[in-house]
Amino acid sequence: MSDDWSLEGVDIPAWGGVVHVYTQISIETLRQKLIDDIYDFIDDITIVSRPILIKQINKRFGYLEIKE
Amino acid sequence: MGRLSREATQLRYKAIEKVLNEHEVTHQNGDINFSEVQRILESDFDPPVIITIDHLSNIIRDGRFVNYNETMPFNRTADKVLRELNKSIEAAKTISRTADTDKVKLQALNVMRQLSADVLRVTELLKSYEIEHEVASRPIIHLSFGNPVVTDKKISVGSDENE
Repeated sequence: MSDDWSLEGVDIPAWGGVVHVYTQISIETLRQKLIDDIYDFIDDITIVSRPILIKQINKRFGYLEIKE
Repeated sequence: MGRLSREATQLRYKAIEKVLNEHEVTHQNGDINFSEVQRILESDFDPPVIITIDHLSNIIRDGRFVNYNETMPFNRTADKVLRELNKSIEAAKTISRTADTDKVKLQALNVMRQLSADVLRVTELLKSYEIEHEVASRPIIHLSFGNPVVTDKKISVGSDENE
């Protein structure tokens, strides 16, 4: 699994430069990262299938429908 | 009912895995519809796979699902899952601290809360597994809401009552 957990966000102007803030896209990046991890290690585990795990992750992020 | 042979158990697990992979067996809220899994196991297999809902939910939800082929024992998989969950929680925590809107902040906090509950659950399963399989005691990765803490003591959840 990747250790890259950089989260997308946006830079907004502030005194003396810019401030990096996180947005809805950051949340989406995190959700996608978890789903990518499932794809990475799904071969190692059995019974709990990929669709089920992805549904569970989506549920954690407030989505009820599958978004892959 | 007597204890199933190892082969019978593996066949049963494979049947359950097949149903989960090939059928739509979740409720609208994402939870697994165990009754539907049970129904398919009884109707689509010859001989039918007879299993109680309780047993089915234990197998799927309570950790025995992992690796009936024993390529990777449950404790190793659980460790990987815990590592990923803790990284996700840290990321959600970062988002919640510097979010551009309250909505995003709230969503990040909610994700943290849900994943923290997952960490506790996996940790408890791991402990049960180690006791059941007499695995040598080793540090438990426990989450202190955002900061993973490794302790060699019992699981503590925000208080000293389990110490």
